[in-house]
Amino acid sequence: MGEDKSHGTGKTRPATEWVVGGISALLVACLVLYLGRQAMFGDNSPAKLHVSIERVTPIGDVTSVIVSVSNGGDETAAAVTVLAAGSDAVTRWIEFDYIPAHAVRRGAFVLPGALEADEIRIGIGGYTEP
Amino acid sequence: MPARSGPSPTDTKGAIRDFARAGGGALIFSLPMLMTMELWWLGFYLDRLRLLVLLLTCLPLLVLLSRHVGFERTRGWRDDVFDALIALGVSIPVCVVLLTLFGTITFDTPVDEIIGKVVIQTVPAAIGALLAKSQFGAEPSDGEDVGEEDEPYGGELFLMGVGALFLGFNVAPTEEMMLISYRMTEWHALLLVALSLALMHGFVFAVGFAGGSEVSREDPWWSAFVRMTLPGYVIALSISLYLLWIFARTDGLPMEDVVMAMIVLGFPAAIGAAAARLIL
Repeated sequence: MGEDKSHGTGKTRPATEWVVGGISALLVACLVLYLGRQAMFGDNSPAKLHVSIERVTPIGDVTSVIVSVSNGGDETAAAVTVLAAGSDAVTRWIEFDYIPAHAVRRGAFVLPGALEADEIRIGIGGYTEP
Repeated sequence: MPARSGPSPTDTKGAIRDFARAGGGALIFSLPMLMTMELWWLGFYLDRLRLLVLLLTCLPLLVLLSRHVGFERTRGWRDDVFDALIALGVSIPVCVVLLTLFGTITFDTPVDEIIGKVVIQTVPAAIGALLAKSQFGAEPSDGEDVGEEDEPYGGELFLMGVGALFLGFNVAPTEEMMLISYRMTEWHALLLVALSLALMHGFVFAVGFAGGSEVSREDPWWSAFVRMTLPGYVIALSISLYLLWIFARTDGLPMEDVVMAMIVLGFPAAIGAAAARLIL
């Protein structure tokens, strides 16, 4: 590996240090450019929440309902409540701490009785800003 | 360094003192994490593959750390492996005892959960155990000039990585880390990157903390910035990403959010990397 006399100090700096430094500078520059691009041209739409049933599994005399909540917006939603009701028409809810922008989170309801997917009503109750 | 064979009463006393130091180091380094509830929870829900990766990456790290700042001056790789295993061996009982005293491990706790909780805590504790000599070891013996040796470039970067890992480990599992990243915009992130780099450079070179790296007065500021600060920051970000993955913080997140979380965790990790010489 070549060496370089460092600016008249007489102290040699191995070329490896400059190569590692150069690669690091490139990586940090890419990060800054990416953030700058996102900051200037990125979208800023509010949270767009969508809930769907992923799986319905009867377990004894109850039914486990796995739901997924996706956020198609550009802002994070906090304290997201998801509501569900089965054949007994009693509304139950679960709360997700956060659904980040463009992310998906999953949760489960346990509803009484053996239910099919089309017998279950689900929806978003609301959310707050983080 | 005296040979390990032929134990005498003095050797036994010294060994007991070294073990006690290692236990003290393990306690000090792991206490904040032993008292953090997110780490207890991770112990029972974290994917076991990630725990295995954590443990497997911890071992070579401890061996290399022993090479640089172990609790005993070592002669070769075999001694370093031995010291790393001792550090783990001392850390595990320290963690088990404290988690039991804190009531997070009871007779009803399943073995799988106990293992998960202890493995997570053992990593920072073992780093502390290994560093016990540099933290508490009173006097260098036989004219050794411990801590004042010129560290090779790779060694400096490695120590930065350990500093980043240690400080990052303290905060990576907390909910606040993600909440901060959700509240920030990209403009905040850009400023945080700039602040991280400025503080790193200041810690290491500019303000002259004891243990900071020596830079010739005739060297321009950007020389140390390019050779040390920028690689140190990249290491801090890489360690942050590794920790976020280990603690399942990247799951289900799009790239933008992963980058934001990495920059947020990169801030304490960068400080840890810069202050590695002070911490370690």
